[in-house]
Amino acid sequence: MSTFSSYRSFPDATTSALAVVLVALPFVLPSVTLASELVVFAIGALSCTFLLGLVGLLSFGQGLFFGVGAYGAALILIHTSAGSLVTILAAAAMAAAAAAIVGFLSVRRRGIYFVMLTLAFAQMGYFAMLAMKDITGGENGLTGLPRPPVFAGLGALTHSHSVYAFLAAICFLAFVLTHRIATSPFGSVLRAIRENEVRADALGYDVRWFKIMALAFGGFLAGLAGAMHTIFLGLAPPNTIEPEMSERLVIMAIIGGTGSPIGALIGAGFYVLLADFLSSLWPRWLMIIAFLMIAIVLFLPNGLWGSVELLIARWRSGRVRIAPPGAVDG
Amino acid sequence: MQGQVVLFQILNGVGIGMIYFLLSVGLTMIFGLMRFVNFAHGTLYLVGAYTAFSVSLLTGSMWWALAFGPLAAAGVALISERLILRHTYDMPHEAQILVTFALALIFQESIVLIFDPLAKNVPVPSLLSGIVFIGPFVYPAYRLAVVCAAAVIAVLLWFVLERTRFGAALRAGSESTEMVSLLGINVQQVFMVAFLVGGALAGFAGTLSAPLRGVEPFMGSEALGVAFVVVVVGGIGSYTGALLGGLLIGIVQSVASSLWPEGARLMIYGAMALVLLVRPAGLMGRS
Amino acid sequence: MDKASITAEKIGVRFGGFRALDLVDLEIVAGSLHSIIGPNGAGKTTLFNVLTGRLLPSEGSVRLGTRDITRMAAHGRVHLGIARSFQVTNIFQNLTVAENVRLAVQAVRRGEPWTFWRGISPDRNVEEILAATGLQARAMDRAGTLSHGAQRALEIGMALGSDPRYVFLDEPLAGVSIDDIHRIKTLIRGLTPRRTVVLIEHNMRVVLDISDRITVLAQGEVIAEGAPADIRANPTVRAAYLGASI
Repeated sequence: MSTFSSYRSFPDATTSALAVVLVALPFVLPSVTLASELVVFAIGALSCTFLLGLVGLLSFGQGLFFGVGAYGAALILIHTSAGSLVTILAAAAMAAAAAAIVGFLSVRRRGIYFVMLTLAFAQMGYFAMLAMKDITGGENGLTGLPRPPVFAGLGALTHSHSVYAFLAAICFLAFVLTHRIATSPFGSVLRAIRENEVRADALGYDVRWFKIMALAFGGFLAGLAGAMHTIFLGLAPPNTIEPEMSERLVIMAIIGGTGSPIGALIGAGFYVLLADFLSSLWPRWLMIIAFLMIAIVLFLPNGLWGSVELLIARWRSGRVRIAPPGAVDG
Repeated sequence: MQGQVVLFQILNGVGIGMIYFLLSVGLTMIFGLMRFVNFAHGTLYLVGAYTAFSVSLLTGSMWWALAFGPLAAAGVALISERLILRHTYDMPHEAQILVTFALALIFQESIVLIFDPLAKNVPVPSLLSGIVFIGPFVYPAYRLAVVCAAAVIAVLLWFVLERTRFGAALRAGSESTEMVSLLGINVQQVFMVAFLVGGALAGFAGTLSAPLRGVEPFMGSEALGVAFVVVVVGGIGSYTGALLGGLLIGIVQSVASSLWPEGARLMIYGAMALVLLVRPAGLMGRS
Repeated sequence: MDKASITAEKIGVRFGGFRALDLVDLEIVAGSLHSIIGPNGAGKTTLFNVLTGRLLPSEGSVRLGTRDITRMAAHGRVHLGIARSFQVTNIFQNLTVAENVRLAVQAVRRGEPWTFWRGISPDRNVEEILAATGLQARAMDRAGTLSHGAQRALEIGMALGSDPRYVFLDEPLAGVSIDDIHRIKTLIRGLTPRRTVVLIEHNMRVVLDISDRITVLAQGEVIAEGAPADIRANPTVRAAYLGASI
């Protein structure tokens, strides 16, 4: 699996590129709502990319936190008069808390066992939602939700373009935050844990707590995406917490490549656009995605974006290049 | 009367639990042996269930299904191993997990393609469609037959594990693969047999449960989740763990369904979380 | 606390039916260079694992001064000033040499490991350790590309990263070339008396040369202990090594 290794300074060229892409997206894609959907799932995929690429943790349970964010946002919208921004942040915080609890239980095991646990917890989330159907609406989900302005009384989100601008801004900030964390001392510890957990422990890092905090941030990102999804759709359907959501986020992360946060954007874009394009042609398009995943894991382990980065690096090394001093990670 | 209801639920839970045992025992032994987790394990359960559906539809008889279900599942296991899985043994764990997961997805979509996305019923074999009286209880005959069939298999399995050379190799290999190969035992062969048998058992579990729960294309991923819970509760690589874990989870689900029907499936995951907290290695697991 | 000795009392370690260590007593005096020697399989690394927190003993206790640290995890002991290197090189292969050392240094910088809102600050200690271990020239290279001897030097460098009071070095000279042995030996000797060094080594010349005290383990038990001259002359020790030249 490819890993977050291409970090030099912050912010760097990819940050500006991301901004450009986000601005251009609604004009390049067939519809603004498609752009909004892409941006939402980019954050969802980012939660998987962050955990797998930086910490080496494969989580099949991010859908659970996506769902907590989605339902959390819905409940806040129903029961309070908070603005959209506060709703999203509060729901994401709920998801982060849930992720910390699940993480606390899951890090007691490592490797494949850990992955198994994340999948089990994803299933659990779905059944919890069904069990609490008085609160969650069960099979119907929560519908008819308002879409309040960004702040109380400011920044109305009535037009689909303003919704996109709002979601894209949050997306940008989330990516920047993730990049910041990855290049921080905390990020360097997570990287060390991914590389050699035993040595990290021997150096004095309490590996379990670092993993739990990383999982909490992953949960935050997934919950952020789920809450954005609720604002975007105006409803919180059961599929936001179904195990299939966890699977979908993992697929996006792998297809895009886990070597860089941009992979999440690419993977989400690929999935969302393919789904939009193919679902009217052939309802079983998921099978194509599954074959693609196998091909990528076996032949293109860096994913789509990672392979592009590799090509760019090869093209660049054709000229003489000396690594800038202070570039810490290789 | 309350006590009798609980007792009935426990008996019911044993029925569910035996199916969970059959579903999980292959997974846990393979995991212990090769540290290989097949995320398409639930697919084998799915294949067993849909074989039951199609065979009983075609022939009108469940008895053929009981033979073909496990065979179909073993066949699927064999094909996946030959074509795809064997290329992943040298890859990191994450890669193996993702490939098997993608395989599961492919099979799931194929099922929808061949059949359709809707849930279907599978009729109980007419011979077993009645009820049986056990003391004061009225128990469905089919469920009793399921318990008996599963019990027979459990005993057979125990016999193979404890009394045959193959079983000894499997048990030893679950503890240490290096030791076993140093003793000249072909670990690959042991693994293949265990993988196919484990798959057949999962398929058998699917076949048995088809008349009880019907079939639908997404039951594979739910089955995988349940199998994982049983492995966590019972401990990795342990036959007794799979048996105890399966029974415990089945009983928890059954008792919970009479107290809090919507929360029954949730409770089994709650039990898993509790075991994780208190005894992370599982009931029969080694730390 | 700097003058505190590390005391192990009646340490027993059992793996199933196998006794790796049996009733081992050990006192490591602050500021000394204490070597642990013995034939292969004697339990030296197992003892290290107990002393540094990687392994919980089946019996016995480990004390730092008056404080019982038997059950304390490895990462906790680093913050008490105990650090170790590994017998089998256990570095971060894919990270640069400088990053390997920096991670070791960062671990004991208060609050730094949890800082997520700013970038990584350079640390002078990293330069000092790279200089002391002779790795400056390779600082920006991937640690996995280093020669075996250089990787062993990195192992020591990482152990020193946390500015430890007690340094546990597990066969630091294993596979190191003749040219480097003298340099590393001098480096290790120079760590005392400011720090306390506990050393596992097979190179008898170095051990007898630089040690203040030597403990000899065989088959999980202490068979001799004393100053280098006493150990050299001890017939039990000679017998344990079956005629290997001392």
